[in-house]
Amino acid sequence: MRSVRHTISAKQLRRLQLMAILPTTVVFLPGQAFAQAGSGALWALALATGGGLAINWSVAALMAGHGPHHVFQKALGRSGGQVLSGFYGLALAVACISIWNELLSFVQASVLPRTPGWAVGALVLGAAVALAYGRAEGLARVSDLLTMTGLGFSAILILPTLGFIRPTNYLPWWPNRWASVWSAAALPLSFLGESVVGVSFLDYCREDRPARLTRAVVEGALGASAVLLATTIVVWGVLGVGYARLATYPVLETIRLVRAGQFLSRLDLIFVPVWLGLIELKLAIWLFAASDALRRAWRRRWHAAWPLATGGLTLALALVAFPSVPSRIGFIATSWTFSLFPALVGVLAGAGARMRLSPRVR
Amino acid sequence: MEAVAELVALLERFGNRLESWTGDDALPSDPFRGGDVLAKALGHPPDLVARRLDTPQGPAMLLYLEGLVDTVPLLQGVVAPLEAGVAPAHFTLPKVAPVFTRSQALEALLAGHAVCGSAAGGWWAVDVAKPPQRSVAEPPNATVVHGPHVGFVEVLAVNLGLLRQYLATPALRAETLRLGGLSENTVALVHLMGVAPAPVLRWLRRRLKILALRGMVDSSRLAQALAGPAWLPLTQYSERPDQVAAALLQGRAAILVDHSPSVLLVPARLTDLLSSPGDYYQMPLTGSITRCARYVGLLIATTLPAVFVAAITVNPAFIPLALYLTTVRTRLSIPFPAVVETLILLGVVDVVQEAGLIMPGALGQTVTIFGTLILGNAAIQAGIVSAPTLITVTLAILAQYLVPDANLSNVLRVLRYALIPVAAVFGFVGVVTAWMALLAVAVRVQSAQVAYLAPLSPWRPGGWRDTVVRWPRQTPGRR
Repeated sequence: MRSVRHTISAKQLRRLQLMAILPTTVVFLPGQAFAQAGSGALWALALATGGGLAINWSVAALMAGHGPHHVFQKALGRSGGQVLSGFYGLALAVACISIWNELLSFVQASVLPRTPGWAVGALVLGAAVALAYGRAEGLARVSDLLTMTGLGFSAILILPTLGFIRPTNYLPWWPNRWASVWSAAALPLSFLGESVVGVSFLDYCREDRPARLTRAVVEGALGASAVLLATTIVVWGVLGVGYARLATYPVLETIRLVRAGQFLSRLDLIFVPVWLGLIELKLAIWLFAASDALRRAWRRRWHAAWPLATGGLTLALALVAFPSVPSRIGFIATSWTFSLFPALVGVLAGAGARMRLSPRVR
Repeated sequence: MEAVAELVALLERFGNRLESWTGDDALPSDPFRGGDVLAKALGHPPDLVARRLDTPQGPAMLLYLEGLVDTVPLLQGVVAPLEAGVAPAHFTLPKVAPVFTRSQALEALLAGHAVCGSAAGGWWAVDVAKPPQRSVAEPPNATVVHGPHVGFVEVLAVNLGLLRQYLATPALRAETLRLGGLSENTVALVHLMGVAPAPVLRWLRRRLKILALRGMVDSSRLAQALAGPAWLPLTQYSERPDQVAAALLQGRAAILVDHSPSVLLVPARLTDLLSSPGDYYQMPLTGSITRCARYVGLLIATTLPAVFVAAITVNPAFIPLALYLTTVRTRLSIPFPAVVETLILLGVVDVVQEAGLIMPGALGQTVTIFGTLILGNAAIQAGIVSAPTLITVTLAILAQYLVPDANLSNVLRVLRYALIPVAAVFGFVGVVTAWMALLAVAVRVQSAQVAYLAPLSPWRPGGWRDTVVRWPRQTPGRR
């Protein structure tokens, strides 16, 4: 196995994990949760947070600070490891289709570009490939910058929305039907448990203590969960369940409600550019993880063509196969939430457990 | 025939270098023949003075380049003692050294030394140099309200002396080397021992050794040859000794080039290029506000025209309705689309700016005033450009001047042009995506082994203390 350069710190791994989860989560999940669970949305997300953290901790701890490709090879040998690396890469590539879907849907809903989706996609593809070409180090550095920028802008946005919260919207706290809560928790669980991509950066980390690496991955996911829960509470308080369950992107609607005078009538002007940058970074992180896994499965050197090919193919599929918003949401549920995500968790955890039990490693 | 002449000159130069390298260019003991050899090697220039002297030991030859020497020490310290029969080794002048080869004698002559030779005493070089030099004054391009008002000059020794006034410590190290193939010049790599990181110094020494430069006219040649992407400034220029001393204390290295007042500071991160010596001479609060203004200025200078074009062309919903209606009303009679109008106006402003810089003094000011006030007013009245476009472009140009580094300021100008077409086609998505692509490239750039965007990326805890703001440093023991 070729050695990789250890270029990122544990803190950067934490921020990478945060950025791999947060951008689509905070925009996409509150609407889904309210639509399915109504007043039980917060419960559903809390359940998903608990489950997601358990998954993140289990996967990261079982992998003992090693990247997935190392774990696959240790668990199943060289050939078996290559096969699993290929599966891992393909699964992440399918997830990239979902990220493209979310990006294109949100761009249409917020920015209203005059250019067709494929042109916007091609432009974003260029930036995402440039980001992914920087590999773990470049992605970690951009994550450093955007985490700080995102925190700053979030503070600007959250503060005025607090003044629009109506306490009566929080009643009732208790959901009417728990079945809807369980079903509404499934999709967020698959988002918040996305340590499956964070662990692909373990190989690039300078830190060699497994406990610290596990903690970094879990803290990244925990940060994303905390932001999601806080956002959901604010959306619930500002919009109320009735309005929030009808809106595709209740976060956008919440921000648009804030009127700081006639001149500054729409604060989403601040949110949308920041969010666009964040989701492009998320796409780049996933593209890198997918293409890195695929090139390892084929045992090839790293080249810009890998993320370009992976990104181009997934963009084409996102544009051709899933042109409408309902078809995109259906695709996420069938391809990721109920099939590939559990499969990946199983593969990573299983390989990790086998590696830890193997006498070759211990 | 011209090609043959060029070939002969090339061969002669190569032969001279070969002889110098093998040590086979010893000066003849006959002073007149030696004088002829040196005059021929220099091409019999009009400023070369070759004077025959009669000394008690026999005839002697004195050569020097007029204009580079101080005539008082020359006459009193060289000519008079020689005529009195004093051997050059006993001259009272501080720097007297024997020369044995033609290359040594030529190097001494070109450095402003007087070269004298006699059959009995051999050849000697006496330092009587006084090259044209200006006084140590504050550089006009980096003035401060408070703080020292001195600047570097074109003499390396003076510049090193100025630095030593600020850093009177034996830890100050100056490693000199000669660079430039055809016209060699002295370059000094200056750093504080134990403060500058070893990888940075190792990288600089290696880069300086392998540089292939035909001549070293100014430090800017060196800055461009030190590698890195051509579109980003990876070295910082400074003409202020206080700024260089502060940089050395930070652990950076300085490259001083003889005959150049511009000192190169490496590594140069983006945060270094956005700081100015004046920041440290004012209160932390006002210094921090100035710093923040520069970062905001960087964004405005690059992105404001693109955002304007995006808002007018693609995403009108992104600007407040009242502002949009006002803008559209003023643009009704404008014949050009917003993108063309903005590009034309930016081009005109840049032309006026360049003309103002090239024209001397008062004429430059006249050109600028005529260009900006009269032309701008006439263009609006004629309905060729709209007032909102003019305001946007002017704001962007003014914001550009908040950036203290001239090279970075020019890069912002290029970025401004590059973002506008993307904004016109893709709107806000294009602007954000272009910035992400820029970030993707910028995070990978290194200046002398140091990340260009550090300490913001990779994030260093506490790094913000001297970046976007200037936090007071009053903690005892903190460097």
